[in-house]
Amino acid sequence: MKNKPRRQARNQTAPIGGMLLTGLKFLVMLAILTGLVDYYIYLNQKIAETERAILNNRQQLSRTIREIEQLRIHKEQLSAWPHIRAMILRFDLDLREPAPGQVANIAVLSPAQAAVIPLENASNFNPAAPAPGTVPQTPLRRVSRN
Amino acid sequence: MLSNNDTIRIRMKWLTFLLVPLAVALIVRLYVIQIRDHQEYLEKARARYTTTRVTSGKRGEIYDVSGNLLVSNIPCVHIVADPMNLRNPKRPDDQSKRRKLAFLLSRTFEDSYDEFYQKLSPTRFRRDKDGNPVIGENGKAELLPNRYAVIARNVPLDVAEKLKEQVKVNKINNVLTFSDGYMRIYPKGRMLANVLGYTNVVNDASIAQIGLEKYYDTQMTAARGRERFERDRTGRPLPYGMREFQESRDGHNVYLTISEPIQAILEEELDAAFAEWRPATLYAAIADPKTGNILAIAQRPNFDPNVRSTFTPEAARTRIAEDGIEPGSIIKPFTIGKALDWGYVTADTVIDCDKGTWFYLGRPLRDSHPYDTLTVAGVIQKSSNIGTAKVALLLGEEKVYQALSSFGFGQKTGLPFPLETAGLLPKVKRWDGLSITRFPIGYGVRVSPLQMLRAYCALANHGWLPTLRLVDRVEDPATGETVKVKTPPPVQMFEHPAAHQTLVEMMTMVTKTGGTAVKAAIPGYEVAGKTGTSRKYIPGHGYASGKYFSSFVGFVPARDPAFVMLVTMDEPKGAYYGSTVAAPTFRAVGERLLRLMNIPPDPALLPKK
Repeated sequence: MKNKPRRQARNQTAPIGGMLLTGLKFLVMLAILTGLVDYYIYLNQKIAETERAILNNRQQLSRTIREIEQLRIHKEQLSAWPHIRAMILRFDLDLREPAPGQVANIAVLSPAQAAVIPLENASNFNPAAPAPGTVPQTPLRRVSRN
Repeated sequence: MLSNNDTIRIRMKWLTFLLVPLAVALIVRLYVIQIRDHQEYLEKARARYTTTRVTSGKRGEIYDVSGNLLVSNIPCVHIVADPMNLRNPKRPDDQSKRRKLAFLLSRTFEDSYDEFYQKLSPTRFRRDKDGNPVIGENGKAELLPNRYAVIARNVPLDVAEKLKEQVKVNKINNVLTFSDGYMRIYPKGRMLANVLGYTNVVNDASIAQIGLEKYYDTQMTAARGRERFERDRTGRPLPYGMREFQESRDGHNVYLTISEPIQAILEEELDAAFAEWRPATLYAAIADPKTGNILAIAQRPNFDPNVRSTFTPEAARTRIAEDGIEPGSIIKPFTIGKALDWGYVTADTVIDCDKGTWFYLGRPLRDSHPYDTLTVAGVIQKSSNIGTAKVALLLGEEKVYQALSSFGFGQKTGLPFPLETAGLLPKVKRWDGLSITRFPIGYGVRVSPLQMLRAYCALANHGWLPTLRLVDRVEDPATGETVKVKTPPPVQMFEHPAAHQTLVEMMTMVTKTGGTAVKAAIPGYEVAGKTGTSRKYIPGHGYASGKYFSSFVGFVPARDPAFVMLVTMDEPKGAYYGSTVAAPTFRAVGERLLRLMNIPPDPALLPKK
């Protein structure tokens, strides 16, 4: 009989504890959910930022490619003979074309290409000796322009 | 009397009566919007935030045989303005921004300030189909807001960047739009211009006009791409949005058989000859006789495809392929060569040259220098008209026609020139009595310089007539795959190789002492060739007095030729013999080419010191 009031009291507090526990569980779930949503938003934001960065880089790349294309054409213009000739005349460079025999062609072979060439050929290698004076060496002529 | 509960029940019924149909209506409406018309609304929404961007690939480029760039596309910027955005909403009369921008533009493009100020007007006239301003009911021209004004096209990248910065510094925002584009460029200027041709720009598209640009237009034209995506408010694609992408494709690249260094040498020497002899037209071409590859091809006058003001009808045509000329004596070796081959004559057969004037069918035929008799070798060396005509008479009309047509005269070379001439070699039934004495010496027939070059390739290539090639290969830039342009195998022109050898020996005499073209001789090398000087025929007027075609065609070294070269001048001034005007150009180019090709001279042929 002594325990009856205590049991009654326990019966009264039990629903409160349960409710608190349920509430706590709900809050934890809510926190997890909020965290997940937050993380999802964060990831989305990061993705958008990365996309923007990619786009900017792509635009930068496109600009650089266009600049390279322009430089390539500029290089072609500068390496064309009319331009080189104009510079030779402008700076009065005493240049002339080489005589046959003064020019040697060197081929840089890949290891695979070099491997198929027999070694004895290397000892027979005899670069064509220059033949100075065999051909009249005329200096570059000035050509009048209209 | 109704209780409270009854009142509530009645109200509830009324409320239900009102709300249920409302709910049903809402559900029906929801069904209509979300299910039945879903697609329609979705498309409407997408149309608002979906954008389509058309991308264009680059037009194919043209290279020489070694990959030196001849035609390309240079990146540039097109600038347009929205002058409406220059207005100050609070003070409509404020033109300070407009003035500032016009000043910036005039300084950037070195153009008139007034012109740019006019372009930046916030209004423009409404115009009819003929371009005339539309007059309104009040008698004044109708005005429209001006939202699109082209400021400049094909602006170099650095200039556009500088302008962008200046506009930013001056806070003139949302007025200028800079769009990327490409412009056709010819980095080597006038070099090979007549062969390459050019394009015009119509509605941002390159339209090929002439030359290889026109012939290979289908292959070189780029395919447009299309990008469709959902955009955010700044116009950028949404990360998870719909995105359809059809890639653009660059046009195919064309590689020529032309060698840029050889072309440069030829063009430079041609400029010198053009300045010296001031001909109306000057043609020259160089080919590799073994392969038929054209190594260089040039003509004067020419034009700079980058500068429109240099375009003239005469300069822009590919005249070396389109013009037919009476070749004169350079055609003689073909009849004589065949006569040797068929056994009608030998090199030592003596021909009576009638002391320089011979009458046939009552019409005189003259030599430039009178000769009593000449051997057949002498006929070539001295370029005797009478001797050649008499050899032709030995052959007869059918054989002469067979000889000339077998070397390709009267037939197109098949090079990629849409307007190439076939020349004129009439069939035997259309010959008059004199034809047999005139056609073999280069009168009465019409030949393009390229046909002559091809025929000489056969003489240089041990009798094998190659097909000329100008385009070596076509490359797909996306895959790197190349397709070689194939040509039929060469055809042997001589039944007896000895006859061919004899003919070449006779032609080497032309450039030696006593020959007609000693000025074509190159010390240390044996040069085989032939001069030609023909009076110019003007339709309707006959042969013009004092107007000539002067030519030299030859190959060197004669025994194993590295190249065949033709030089022809139309109406040279000061002199007119091919030996005087064309042969020195051949020598000048030949000397430099032999060095470039690293072909050593024969010490035995070098002049003794």
